[in-house]
Amino acid sequence: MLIENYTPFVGRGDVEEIKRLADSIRGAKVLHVNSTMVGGGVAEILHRLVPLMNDVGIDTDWQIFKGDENFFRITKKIHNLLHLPSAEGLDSREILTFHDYTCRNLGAIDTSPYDVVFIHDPQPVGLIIKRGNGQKWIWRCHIDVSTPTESVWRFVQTFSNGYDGSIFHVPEFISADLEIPAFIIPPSIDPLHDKNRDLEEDFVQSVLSRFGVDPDRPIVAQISRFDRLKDPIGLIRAYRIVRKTLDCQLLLAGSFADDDPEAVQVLEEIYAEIGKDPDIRLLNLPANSHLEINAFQRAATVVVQKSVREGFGLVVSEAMWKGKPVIGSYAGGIRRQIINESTGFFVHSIEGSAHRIKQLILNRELLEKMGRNAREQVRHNFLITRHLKDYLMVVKKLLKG
Amino acid sequence: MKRFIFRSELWVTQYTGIRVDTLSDFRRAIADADDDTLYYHLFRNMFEYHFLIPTYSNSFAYWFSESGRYILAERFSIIDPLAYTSLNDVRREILEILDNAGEERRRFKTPFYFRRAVRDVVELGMEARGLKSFIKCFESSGIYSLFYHLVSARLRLGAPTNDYSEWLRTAGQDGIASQIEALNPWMFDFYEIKRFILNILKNGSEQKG
Repeated sequence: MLIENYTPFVGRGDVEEIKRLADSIRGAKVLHVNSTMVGGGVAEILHRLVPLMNDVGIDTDWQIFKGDENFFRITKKIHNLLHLPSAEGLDSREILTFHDYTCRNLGAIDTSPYDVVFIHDPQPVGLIIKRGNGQKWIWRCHIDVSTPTESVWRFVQTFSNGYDGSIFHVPEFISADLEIPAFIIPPSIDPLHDKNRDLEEDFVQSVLSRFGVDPDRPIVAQISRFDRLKDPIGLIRAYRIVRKTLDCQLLLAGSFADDDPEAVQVLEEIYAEIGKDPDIRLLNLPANSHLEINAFQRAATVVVQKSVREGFGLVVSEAMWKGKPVIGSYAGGIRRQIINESTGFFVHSIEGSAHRIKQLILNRELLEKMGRNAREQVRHNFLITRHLKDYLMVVKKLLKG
Repeated sequence: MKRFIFRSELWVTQYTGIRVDTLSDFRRAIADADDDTLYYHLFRNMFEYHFLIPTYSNSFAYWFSESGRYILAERFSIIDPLAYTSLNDVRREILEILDNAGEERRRFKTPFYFRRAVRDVVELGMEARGLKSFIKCFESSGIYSLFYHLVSARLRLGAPTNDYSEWLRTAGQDGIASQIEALNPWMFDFYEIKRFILNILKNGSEQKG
């Protein structure tokens, strides 16, 4: 069984519990619906979770809600307006387009054979109209809707209120006026994914050498999109403070789509800030460079996630899984992953970041102890097996009360 | 001899919809909270961070400390849910601390989100009829199972003991039962506790043998 592959990470007991839990709801048919098969965290997690649910005996399908560029432009706007309050709203044409695509998908997606239907994010939320008698529908919201644009939240609520329940990453992401039950299920990482699986030391060294990173000097790394909200400039300034007294290198690695004009501009700003410093490596990698990112995280001495604003920020758990303490800002899901002074440090300024980077580089004992705690924190709370268990529990709760 | 069925406790978190940011609202919420909510913040929290020696021992205490209410954080941190066999008794202690803190309407820096543990118990398909098979099954079980039988058993049994010790006594293993009862889960992580219990069981088994 596929699930057995996780025994080395979580132990035989945990795997057995998952199988027993699945046995208690055997026969249930489950459907997941989202709007893309590739790209983004939701698709990535479904690629791993759907096979695992089937593997433990829960008949699970995954269907895609289809739209065109215009529809996705509107749903991107909905996403942004749910995320932050704005004076803007949806105009009547946008609302009609949303309804039009909902109607088209009502015919294309057959939800009738399923006992439990998971609808991911706002794009397919209107499918609730199809809910049949005895079915349980759950809205899995992957975004922070704690401070939404009122009119857009009301629009989404006309659908979400029809669900039997919802799932959010953390309670802080939930709007105060949510009217349906909400489960709290944080996202997870897969230890068998290329991003996280063990790597041969030779491979790690070859990646460092390919990208001109010196393996013999401390490496401070941040892996993130080129986005001002990730505060790469702030990190460069923190690194410069550290460099006044300590020899180290800074690695900023990420990727962006070529058609993202803002990312291009941010990249230029970062280059300007770096100037001629030969010890800062700025790497714009192809989106599927999982093994390279994995190698950088493993080679890093200290990993930083200095975001100003963050969704869940699973990259923190990815680094922690590799035994790295993470220095992070107190933003979004980062504050759920780092346990301050145990698995890393929370920082609130450039100077604070510099102070913690220095501490960890200079104190190997502290670095190793925090790294061990960090890996255990992920093993205990942020692996895909916990995620699978949580989903099975939700299915059981919905079906059996 | 009575058989011992190995079980495990699983849970998923549910948000109660109760979010407070003043001491008075917090007190009201504690007074009204159901057992699964208190269980989540006191017991599940202990399980979640079992591998650390945390500064504060429960999420209430953390919340107080985040807002600079260090005295309350420390008073809450000393609450030992394992000293009780009923959640209502823990609730009474919490309310007493809050009553002594007095009335206060000042807003905290961040709200506290009350959550509950939606719990389920599964049988692991392993049962023991004697010490030998008990040791074998115990070795195969995970720490969720350990938590169910060793920690949350106190609330179920309403007595300061645990499922293992209860059964071992019926099997005539009073010495082993008492040694397991004497373990303090606050002092070690659950992997260590499992190792200690396994040693106690194996030593006891050899002495009998």
